[in-house]
Amino acid sequence: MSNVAKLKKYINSLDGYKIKDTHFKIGAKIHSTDFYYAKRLFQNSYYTARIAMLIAIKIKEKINNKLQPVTLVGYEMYSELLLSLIKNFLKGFEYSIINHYVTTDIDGVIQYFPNNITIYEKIAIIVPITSTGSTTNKIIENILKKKTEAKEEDFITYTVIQSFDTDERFKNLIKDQDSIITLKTEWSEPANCKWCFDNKVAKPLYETDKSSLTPTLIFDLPSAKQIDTDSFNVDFNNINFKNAIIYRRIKRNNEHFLFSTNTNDLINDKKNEPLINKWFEDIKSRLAVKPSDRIVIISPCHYSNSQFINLVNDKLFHSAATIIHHQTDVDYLANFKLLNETFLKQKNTKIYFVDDSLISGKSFFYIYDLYRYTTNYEEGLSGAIFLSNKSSADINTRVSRTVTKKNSTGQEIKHIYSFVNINLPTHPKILGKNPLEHEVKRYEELSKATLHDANKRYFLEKSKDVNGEKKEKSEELNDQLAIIDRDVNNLNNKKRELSSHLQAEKDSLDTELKKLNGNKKILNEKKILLEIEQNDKHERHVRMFKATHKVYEFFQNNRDIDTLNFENLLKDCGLNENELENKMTMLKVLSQYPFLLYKPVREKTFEWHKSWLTKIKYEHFFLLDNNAFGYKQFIELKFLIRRAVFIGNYNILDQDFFILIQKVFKKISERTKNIKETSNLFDVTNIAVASLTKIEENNLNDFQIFLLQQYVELFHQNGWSANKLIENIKAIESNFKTLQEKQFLRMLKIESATVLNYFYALLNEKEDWRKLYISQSDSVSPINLENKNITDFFEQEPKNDKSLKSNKFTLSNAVLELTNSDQKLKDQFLNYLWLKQFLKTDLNSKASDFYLTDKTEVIFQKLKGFFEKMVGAFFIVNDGKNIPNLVYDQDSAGNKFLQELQEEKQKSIFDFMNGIIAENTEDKEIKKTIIEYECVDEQNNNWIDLYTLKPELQCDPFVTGCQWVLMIRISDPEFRTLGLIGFYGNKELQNDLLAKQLLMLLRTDIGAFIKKHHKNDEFSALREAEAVKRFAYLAGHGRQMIQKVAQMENQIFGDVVTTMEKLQYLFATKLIKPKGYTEENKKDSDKTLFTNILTPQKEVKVNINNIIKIGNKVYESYLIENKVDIEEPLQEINKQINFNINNDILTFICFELFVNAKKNRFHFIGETCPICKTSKNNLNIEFSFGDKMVILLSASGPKVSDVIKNKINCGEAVKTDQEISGLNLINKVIKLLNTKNKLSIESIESKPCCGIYQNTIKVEFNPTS
Amino acid sequence: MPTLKRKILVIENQEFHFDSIIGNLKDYCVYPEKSNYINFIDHIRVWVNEEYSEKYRYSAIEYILKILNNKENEIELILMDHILGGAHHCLTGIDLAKEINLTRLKEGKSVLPIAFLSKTEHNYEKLVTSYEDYKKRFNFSEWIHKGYFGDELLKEEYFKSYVIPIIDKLLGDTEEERFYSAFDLVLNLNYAPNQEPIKTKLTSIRNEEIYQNMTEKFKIMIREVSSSKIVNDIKLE
Repeated sequence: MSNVAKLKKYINSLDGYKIKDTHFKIGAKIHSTDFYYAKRLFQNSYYTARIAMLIAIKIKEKINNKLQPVTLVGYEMYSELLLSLIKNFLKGFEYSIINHYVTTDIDGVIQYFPNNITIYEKIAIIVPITSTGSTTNKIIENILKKKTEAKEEDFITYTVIQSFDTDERFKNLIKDQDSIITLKTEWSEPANCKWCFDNKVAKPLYETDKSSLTPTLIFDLPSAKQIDTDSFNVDFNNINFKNAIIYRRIKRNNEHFLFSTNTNDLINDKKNEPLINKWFEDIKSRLAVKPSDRIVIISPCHYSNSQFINLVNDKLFHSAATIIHHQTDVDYLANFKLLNETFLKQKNTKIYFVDDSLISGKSFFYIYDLYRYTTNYEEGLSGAIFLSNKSSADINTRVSRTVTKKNSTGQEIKHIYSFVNINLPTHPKILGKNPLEHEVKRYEELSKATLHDANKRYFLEKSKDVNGEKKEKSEELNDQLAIIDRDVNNLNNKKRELSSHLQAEKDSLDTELKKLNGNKKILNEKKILLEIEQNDKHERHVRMFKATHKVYEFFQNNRDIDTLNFENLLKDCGLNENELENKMTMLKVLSQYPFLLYKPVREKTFEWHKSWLTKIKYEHFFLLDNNAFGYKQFIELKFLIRRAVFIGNYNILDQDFFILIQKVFKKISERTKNIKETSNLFDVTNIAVASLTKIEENNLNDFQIFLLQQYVELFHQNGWSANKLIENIKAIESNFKTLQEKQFLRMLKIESATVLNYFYALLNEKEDWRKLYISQSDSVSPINLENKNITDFFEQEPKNDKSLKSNKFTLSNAVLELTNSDQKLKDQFLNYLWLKQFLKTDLNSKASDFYLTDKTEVIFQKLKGFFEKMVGAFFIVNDGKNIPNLVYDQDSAGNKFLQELQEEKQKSIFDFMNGIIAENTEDKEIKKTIIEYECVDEQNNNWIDLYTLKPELQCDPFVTGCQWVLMIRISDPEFRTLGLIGFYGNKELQNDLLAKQLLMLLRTDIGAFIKKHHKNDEFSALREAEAVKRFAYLAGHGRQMIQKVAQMENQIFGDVVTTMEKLQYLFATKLIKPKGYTEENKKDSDKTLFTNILTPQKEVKVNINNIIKIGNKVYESYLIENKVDIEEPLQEINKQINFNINNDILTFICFELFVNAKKNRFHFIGETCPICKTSKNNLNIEFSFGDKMVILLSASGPKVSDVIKNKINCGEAVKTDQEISGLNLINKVIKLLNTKNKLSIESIESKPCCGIYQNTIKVEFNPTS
Repeated sequence: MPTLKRKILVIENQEFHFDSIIGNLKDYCVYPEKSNYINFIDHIRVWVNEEYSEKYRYSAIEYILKILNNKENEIELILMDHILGGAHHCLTGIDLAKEINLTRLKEGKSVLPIAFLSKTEHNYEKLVTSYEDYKKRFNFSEWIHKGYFGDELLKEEYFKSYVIPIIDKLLGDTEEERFYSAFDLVLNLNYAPNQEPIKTKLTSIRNEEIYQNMTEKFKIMIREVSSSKIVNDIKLE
């Protein structure tokens, strides 16, 4: 047998280096049944020296010239020993110029240690272990970037161990290697991994660090510390922890604890008190302190241990001990000696270390070292006394050793005394972080990755909760109640101060007080519910704490996990195995840290969970079909789903599981229906009719959100689960019929798009991608809208590193369908990539290369390109003062759609922008992210909200001219609205899932764009410039003509033109509200502004002669088009008429009517008509006063088309660009005075021979105006 | 009597704008004459308003074309306002320009250069599409922005420094130059399947024949093809 074969056999036989029959994620492309723990092998010179010799010989065979300089390159730090040995052997072979360095993969970037080394011409790459062999290529490509002149033949590559699957499926995946040892294994493709997705053979999936070298696992079983029988501690079961347990909120010594105990609460507990006293008595007898002894207590200085120290001093030493409360890590060692030497070195001194808890031993050993230094390492401690000993077995042993002394008979006595020994060691680190920190980070990442704000908020809250930052709900409620109490108090004081005759003010205060007291009542009710909920939660935490301790204890005495069953574990831990509550507690404890890190426990828990889930699946189907599915089953199901996520049981992605979920949804919807129909709900075994508490109701109502969050976690854990889910739900999608079910599927599909983020992250790691468009941005050329750079980039990528061949792209393509049938990338996807590039480049560039309007324009051009069919879009942003601005508004043909923002007309848009509270959730902070509306009756403009769970709520009409509207709210990390993007068009657009997914994926990038550009002076300046422009533009093409009229005929037109300008400016610039949209000025409607500018007047006497003069002058003036003769000028009458509107407004209306009549006059060209002989226009104006005040203006002109006539008569703007002049302005003004006021037109043919019509405009004023 | 000054037709809806513009075009021969302005512009207003009868509109365009084609003073450029009718639904200057130049091409005449005047911003998408569409077909045109308030154009300084150079540039193209532009356009067109022999022949004519030797019929044909982009009827002489 050759040496290699021997070594191979040896490696295969060593349990320590191979984890077999398991399920490991190796890189992105494979899951493997075996994991080789090569790191340990290569860190041991016994093996490494032999391998190094083999490689040195191989190099010698390749490089004959011994003067040839060679650089050895290894992979990861553990290859250092191997490299240095190869180098030594090569030197032994008389190669004189050799250097070496190690490469490591840090967050996807190859780094060199040391980083300043010269790379010689010949480069030998030695990768200790590989699967597919991609590492070698990655290193070569990286070196080629550093040393561009290097050629392929300069590299010699070796792999020590290569483990791979020889199946044909993986042939293309494996790069040929010169391997010293090859090991066969079994692989599975992540997309269809049987160990992930086949329930029969499923196993928990283990991950490693980035370089696939170190698994985040402990291979052994958990183990409790060994406690001596004579150590006096009190039985764990006899202690009452109920009031003392704190879940997650405590951090100490840079450690974050899942459970901790409140020392004072533990001591002060009535049940614990006699136990503590008894314990002290027992210790006292052991310590046998003599009257001549001088006792010193040394203790770390922190807030929680003082009561315990005093108690020790009192009970054990009659309060005679000297206490040194030392602040660790702060005081200097030399000072400690100087200050405490006298006390510590006195004759007959006994030193005791006292603390409330022993956990990591850090404080103990710090102080112990100080003491040993002070006493010149001559003395040991007399004992260590702890209230709770939560240390691990090794720490406990180390501490015990320091206080072990021989008694008079020579027997070794451990003077470590703990009231209670708790098995709650600090958790091992996961990828350099402790488990809770790791969880905090995981939730933060989930919050960033998920697409809906409801989820983002949930994960953020989770992260804060795990990190102990989250304010307790009860604290928040108490704060709110305190504010109400303060306000009530203030109002009562105010009321007392008011004089008796100010009854109206008193009444108003009473109303306010009533409202506040109403709120207080609601909050108090909430508080009661919350207290119940918190109490339940606390009890659950105490149970979990006890179960954790018991599990450690159990494994201390039972090392055979293979034959263990779940029920026995429960029994052995003192829990009733038939109680659901106990089963749930145990499974929860086992499926979270620290037990999740113990491989055998994790595997066993996975099995238990799998069989429990399978069991309930069938049970619940039966119960649901027989109306016997109760709230208890619902909770059990929810619990198992949550645990499935923690433990990675992908069985919850199966089709039959979705059918079960659908049935539960149906049951919940039946319940909602029943609640509406009857209040008598009593049968607790049937969820559809059970009487439930408010909290339980909420649990049912937000089931879809709960589920969504669980699946999002799974997607994040393993992207291929998103693909499996989408595949599985396709066939049963039509079963999901209720609104809750539909919402669930809709949100799930959108969330599945997050897998694309992983692909984009991969792309963004490539330098060439990052600078793809940068070199082309200059202020002179227009923005390069082509997607060609992107397609070129993909085509030009090196053969071995094609992004589109990556697993991440395969996954994204499987979930989102990013390619056409010809395998080419869809334009929608290319547009998405273009936008990602553009927005990122824009965000990072300090100088503004292009105008904001141009950038907005191109962004929306591309966003529209996410849709397969023509679509219109609008973009509203909140500026620095939180004022909404319409910054983009174009349909597919380039026409405006919204025209302008009008809060009253477009309530649905404003409501959504302000944040519509998500339905069926108690959290009022959760706002909807995406919404779609469909016009169900175009004639009556009736719309439905496609996302609502309350279809009974009427939807206000808010737009016309399309059948479907999609809006996505853009928010900042604090969930405040930054803006809104809207799309509209035909009904079929609502089926364009890819567009919605891509838009949701871009939310954060668009948010960053808004933050950069719209929250600052750049935008304010732009808006002001635009306002001026808008005024100039909207004021009509004849504005300067009108101004000229006013200049030349000031006496007649001066006032009326001033009025007109005021009105135009009001309508053109009303969106600029300097104070922003605060509650106070929100009500500042056009009407308020209008009445501020033009004060309403009553019973105004108008001299009709002025109006007649204006009419004649309008026709005479060559400034209004040109001078036009009329048959008969209007006759001047010295008559006054009584109108109850502002005189200026009336005059302005008449002026506009005259101008309009002149512009729409009949144009006589050619010969005079021989029949009617008409060659001039006519004009007439009348005022009438019946039920309504009416102005009738009649003039000759060409026909007014039916379309225009209908528009005018329906109060719609005739012009699409919303010019604020002419009839449109009149209409706006009269509608502001009274919405019932009306402007209408009639067009009647008067002279058929020439096609002359008599056009009459009627302005009706309602009496109430 | 033909005049030496270049002849420009100003189609401006507003009389006092017309007055200002002609004041700034003293070095050119401007039509319509001031005395005929109202009559002329009323004809324009009739044509742009589709509510008038077809017959009535036809007589209006006839009149306009007659002015353009006056043999003694044939118009060389039009300065055309974009908004021509008082009513909102009226056709625009671009529509009128299309009508004029299509008719000219049918009559075998060259495309008349047109400078559009507008207060409307050039980046207004609908307008851009419509103008780009015009430009693709007829070329020889420029867009002149009147300024946001519309009255910058009336200022002598603005007119001199911004409008006159554009007018001169458009007028600068001689008939011959315009013909060769059209010819080049034709050579760059994608022809039908039998395009290659035609293209080869046309290229040799382009390179070898001098303008004066080409027949009027051929010149007309090239102009028509360049604007209509139809190559089926090309017959090489």
